[in-house]
Amino acid sequence: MGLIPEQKIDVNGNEIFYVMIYDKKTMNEIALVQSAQEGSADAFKTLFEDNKRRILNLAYQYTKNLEDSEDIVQDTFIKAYHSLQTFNIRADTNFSAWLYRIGINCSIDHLRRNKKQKDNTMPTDDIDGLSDPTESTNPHNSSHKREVREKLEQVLNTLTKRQRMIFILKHYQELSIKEIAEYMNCSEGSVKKQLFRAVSVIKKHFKCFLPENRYEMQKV
Amino acid sequence: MKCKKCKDNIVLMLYGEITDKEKSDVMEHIKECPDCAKEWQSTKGVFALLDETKDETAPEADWEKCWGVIQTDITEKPQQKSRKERRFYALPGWAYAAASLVVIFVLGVLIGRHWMTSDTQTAAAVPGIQSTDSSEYIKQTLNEHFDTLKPLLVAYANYSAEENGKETVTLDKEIVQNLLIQNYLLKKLVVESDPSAKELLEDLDLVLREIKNMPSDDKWAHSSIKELIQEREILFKMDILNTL
Repeated sequence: MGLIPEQKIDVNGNEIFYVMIYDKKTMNEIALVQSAQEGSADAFKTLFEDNKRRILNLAYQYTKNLEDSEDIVQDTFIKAYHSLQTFNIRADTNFSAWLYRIGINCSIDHLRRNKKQKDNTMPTDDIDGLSDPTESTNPHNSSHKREVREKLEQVLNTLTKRQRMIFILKHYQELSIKEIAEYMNCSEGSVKKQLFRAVSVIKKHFKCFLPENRYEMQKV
Repeated sequence: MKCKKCKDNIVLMLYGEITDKEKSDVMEHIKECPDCAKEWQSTKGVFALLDETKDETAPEADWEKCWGVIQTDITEKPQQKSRKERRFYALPGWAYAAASLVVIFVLGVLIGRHWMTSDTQTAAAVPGIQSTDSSEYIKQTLNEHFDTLKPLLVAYANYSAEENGKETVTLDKEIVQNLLIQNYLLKKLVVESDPSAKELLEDLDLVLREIKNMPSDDKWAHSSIKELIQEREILFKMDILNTL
């Protein structure tokens, strides 16, 4: 546990002194951020080591490409370093959350910029024609999992960048709608709307994978 | 509960984002509505399929290479200064554009003012008097103008329908028109420099317009002009300005 003195002015203009109590991890983080703000590359490297995996996972789930994910991690930490002076230890929640927000924005920007990714995007109507779910007779075999993954990737490519990110944050990063709204800088209502849209598109393309539909298709 | 709301809540329920009350409402609706029951089954099934891909984690990245790229960048370029330390040069692009627009606007106003003043001085030359920017000249011209108007205004101010019987003040419309033009030009000349003279010239403008527009033998109009002169104390103001 650690104590950091704070000072605020109340509505009557009086100065209020109080202390914020932080856990050990947060105290370490604060110390590292302060050192990095003063120009310590070593401190920044420690922050990189502590957070790199979380950013990589987010980027990988978003892009499904390791090379792109590495680029996103680099962009995120470079942007964070250059904006480090704007990070307010007292006002901002914590460094990891701040970095995560940068990671989300970098992922969306990266995908927007990445022409290769855009070229690979298939029109919605063609998705169902790419892989025939009836070919996979055993839902428990390993190819089934790969098939679902490939299908999901194709469907995600048809969503907007924001819808895709909201779905990833909700379904894979398991963040609450409130947290997503904070990270994406929008209302909870807007997050829900985009999430419903994303789930509805995914459902539309995944219904044929469900056992009852497979049975119906085989019967026909 | 409507089916649309129920379908949205099914998604939220699977993500654990609704209250117990909302959850029981959804379940009750599903029992009664076959469409929503089907939706519930299919959504649950799709979510189960998607969950199969949840265990997928990113492969290990080349962290040495990653840090190398970051290190090169951060050693080459210094950190941005904090908001407090930022100076003028650190402003965003739109701030420069806005500042340029303000400068252009101010310059435009200054140039426009200078031009308008020149126009006023040129206009002052129209009555055929020598153009000069000295305040003495303006004062002299004003006094001459007041001297011309004074007998006319006195005649109207002393008008009495009972005493004069059928007598009215008669005036050539052309003379009134010329007086109006002269009054207008003088008003432009003294526009900002002398507020009291400007006010008097505006009153005179009103009286001259009334005179110009009224029928020559209209006694009621004569009385109204008399009232206007008295109400606005035009003769008194003219005396004051003449003595200054």
